[in-house]
Amino acid sequence: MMFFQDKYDYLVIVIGLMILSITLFFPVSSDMATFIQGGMILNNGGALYVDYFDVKPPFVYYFFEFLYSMFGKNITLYRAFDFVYQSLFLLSSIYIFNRLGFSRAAIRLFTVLMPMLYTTLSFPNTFQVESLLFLPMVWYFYLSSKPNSGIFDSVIKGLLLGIAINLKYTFGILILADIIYLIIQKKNIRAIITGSVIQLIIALVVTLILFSPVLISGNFHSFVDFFNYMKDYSNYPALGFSWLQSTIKSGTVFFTDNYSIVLFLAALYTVFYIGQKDKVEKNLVPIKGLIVFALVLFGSIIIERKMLIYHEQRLFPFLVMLSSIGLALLLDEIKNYKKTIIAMILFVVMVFSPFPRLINILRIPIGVFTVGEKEYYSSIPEGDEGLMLKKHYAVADYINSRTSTDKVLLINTGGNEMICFFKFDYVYSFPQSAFYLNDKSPEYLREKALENIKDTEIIILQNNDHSHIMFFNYDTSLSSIKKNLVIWDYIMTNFKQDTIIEDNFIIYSRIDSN
Amino acid sequence: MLHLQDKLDKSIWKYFIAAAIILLPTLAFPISSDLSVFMHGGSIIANGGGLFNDFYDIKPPLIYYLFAVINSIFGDNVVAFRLFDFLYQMTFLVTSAYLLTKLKISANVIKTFLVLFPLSYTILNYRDIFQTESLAFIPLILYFYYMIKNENTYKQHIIMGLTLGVAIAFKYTLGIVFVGYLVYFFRDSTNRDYAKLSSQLLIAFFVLFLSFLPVILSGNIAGFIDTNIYLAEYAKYPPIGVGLAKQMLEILSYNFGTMISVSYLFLFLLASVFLKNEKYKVIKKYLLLFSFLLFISVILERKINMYHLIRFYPYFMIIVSMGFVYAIEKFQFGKNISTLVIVAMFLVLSPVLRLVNTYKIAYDRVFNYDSYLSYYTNDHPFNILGHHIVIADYINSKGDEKFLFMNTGGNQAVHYLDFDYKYKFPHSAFHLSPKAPLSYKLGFEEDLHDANIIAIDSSDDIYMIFLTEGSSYDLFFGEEKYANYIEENFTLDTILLDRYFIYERIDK
Repeated sequence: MMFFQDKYDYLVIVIGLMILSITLFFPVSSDMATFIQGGMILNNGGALYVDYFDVKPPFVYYFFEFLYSMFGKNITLYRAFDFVYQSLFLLSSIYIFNRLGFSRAAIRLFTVLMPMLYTTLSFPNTFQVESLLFLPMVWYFYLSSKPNSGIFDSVIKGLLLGIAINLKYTFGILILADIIYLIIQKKNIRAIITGSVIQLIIALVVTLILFSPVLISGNFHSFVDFFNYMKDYSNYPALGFSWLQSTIKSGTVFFTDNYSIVLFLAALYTVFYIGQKDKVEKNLVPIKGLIVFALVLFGSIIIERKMLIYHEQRLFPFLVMLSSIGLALLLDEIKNYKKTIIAMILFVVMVFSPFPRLINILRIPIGVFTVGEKEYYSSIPEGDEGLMLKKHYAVADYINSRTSTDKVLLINTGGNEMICFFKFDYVYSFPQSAFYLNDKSPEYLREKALENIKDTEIIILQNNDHSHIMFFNYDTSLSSIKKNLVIWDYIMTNFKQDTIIEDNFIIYSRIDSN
Repeated sequence: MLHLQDKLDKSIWKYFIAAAIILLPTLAFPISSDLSVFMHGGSIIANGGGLFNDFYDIKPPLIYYLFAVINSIFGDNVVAFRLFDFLYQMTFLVTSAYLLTKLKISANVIKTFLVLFPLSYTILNYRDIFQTESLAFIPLILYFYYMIKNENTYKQHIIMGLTLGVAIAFKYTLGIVFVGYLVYFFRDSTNRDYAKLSSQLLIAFFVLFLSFLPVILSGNIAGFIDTNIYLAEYAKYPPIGVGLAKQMLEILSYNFGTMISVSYLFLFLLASVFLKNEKYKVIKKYLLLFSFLLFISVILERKINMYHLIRFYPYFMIIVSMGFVYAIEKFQFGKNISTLVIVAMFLVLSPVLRLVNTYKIAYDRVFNYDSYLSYYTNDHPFNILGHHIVIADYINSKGDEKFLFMNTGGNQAVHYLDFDYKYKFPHSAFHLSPKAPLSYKLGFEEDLHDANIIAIDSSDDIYMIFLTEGSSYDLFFGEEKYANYIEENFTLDTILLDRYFIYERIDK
């Protein structure tokens, strides 16, 4: 029986959406704050790569400019947008997997597991470019799965590919997944080549359109300069045996801990299932498609060299469906077992599934309801997923209550959440101080940073933001800036230290402003 | 031996050799913190000391008597102890192969077991092997064999009682396998003889009693009772709650996903759910039950280090081996995407890569000792082998055998001394903790008054053992009596590695 032919299917969707609704209560994350900062500056008339610098493709910041124009700094509205977006993705996936003939049991499981896995990533790892990829990617997969596809399908795929590339350049690898999948489907090679060329041309056109604000404003050379500088980041960590070791280690932890042992084993069982001798079932080709897309996307993470949880979530649409299929097969196998045995199995399955994480994440909505947003978010332990929200609130409170200027410059790396708590719009250029403070930073970025410092009235300088991945050493913003004599001399001459908040944020105010 | 040859598959010897080769790097492992404690206990007993009077630790007595025997033959030599473990594990594998053959388990499953088991054992590295759990492997497999064989004779129950008793004498909670037997007794045994069942239990208790006999005869039972009072406090930690649940889930996921490995779990899943072989039906059911019960015993203990989990390896690994044979039989290997994923899983998400790394350690042990030493000396907790060698070298240079080492979490230094260490406590927490019994404190004071050189660790804060905050140094000098005694009778000689305070008696 197909999905949507039983009233319980709708109940399952409601459960899935209820789980997803937990994300509405998530606070701002460091990455989200960076995106919002970009959107804020563009919305206030700033230009990308002149007034704001960051590593993602321009489309991401224009998209956030649009969101900022609607939501301002209201984080709940951003989370609501993400909820709607992920719901659309979920419904699209159900529709697509139903069309592709996957079993109803598997689709039901997907409908609950996908929101569960997304939600349990918690707030630092949700609403990332990877999760924005889900929706275009699942439709791209659908078009790749169509038995009879024409030029129109290739054009749409090119469109979707273009969007994917402009969310993150490495997402362009989807075209490789598409080609392999089409070969597995035994499509005509000539048609594959033609379709791929059309896709690439359309994707290029989409990219040109999405880059047009940068091109028209004449800032493309700034983009190129910054892009070249950012190559240093993509070259980190260096390839070698220790990189391989840490990649295997963190990959294993992701699949067995974050994704969960039970679901990963279920996905592997699906792979095993279709590879069994004498297995001839009509639905094997789309399963192979899921595997190809998951593997190719995993390859893109390896290429990026950074096995971070939010990077790895790009596999979810395909991996979760593979797990759902495997889990449905397993459940079918054990349904006739004795109740005591099933209880024992369920106990083990529960322990090693994302379910305990889901229970744990419920503390966020409960906390928000019982003690209030700010109070609860401030109570999330530092170094845990909350990073240092409490300290960001404390600094923002100090700035909002003690100063009347909006010329406030934050010099830190790894999270600028406080800019969402300021009562004014933040105006300065860098979401990460490491961009101009590390040893490899180009002169023009240091000059831009000095320009920011010369303009500002208040400086907030962090003393514990160690980030080897950003600074390429064990420095902090404070220790790095002291090495940059031009900037440090200027600060020492023109600013005085006001206070230190929460031991980590040093507040300086301009001397001549007093 | 001839008898064995008749029973076992003719080509099985190649697999014994393979198993030995896989286990070989364990000989190169250094002394771990737990092994150090066992060796310390063994050395004291071998030199005439009494358990719970001249040496205190929280494990049941059997392990220390075993180590005393090894010590009396080979001395305090880590390679000899590792060699003993190597031979023990080989004996376990030969025994298992023989018993599984007798239970009509297919030769392919047994051969697979002979590779997968040592692989999973060796890659655990130095800290998680040669523990009481791994020493119980032979009694555990024998117990299972005689249960399945079910001859319903006194001989069967006497042997089961003996093996059960030995297992319990190594670790009390291993007695949970008796629950597994009770399930078998009431569900699958055709002849329920309660007298024989009782005899099994009586024999087990008798064996356990025998393991305590030297303690009883030497009049040290009071020390044992004090130890159990401390053990009861130790067992309360970590406290039950959400924090514990989170911590346990995290560690379990790591231990299962990384140490046991995804590929082994996958094979376990295949055999548990999809393998439909009537011949294995009962055996598989009880292998699963025994694995589950032993897993539950780990959860109940609340200490879920990898070495705690290996208690279910003898049963779990047979199921994994069945899964491997099932996978090979069922899967169509070829140039396709499924094969790519499955083969990649077996190469990357299995113990294979770790074995390569373990061989590298063994190579370094022989040809590149500095690299070997640095591997075991880093920022990870307890991984401070180099520190212990530095302390021992320094003490050896002093030439005074009255050396007292006060630290918690591993006293490996005492095995690198040129003389036999003679003091009572392997962990200073036992006498410095606020929960320490009075007899422990008095025992320690005897040592303190006897010693001429003292080393005190200032960075060994381990709440789980101390049951309070602070290091040995903090807690020792926190007691005014001790602080005054040191001030009056000792002088600070040096501080090694910014961590170990060495004091020397003023008037020797």
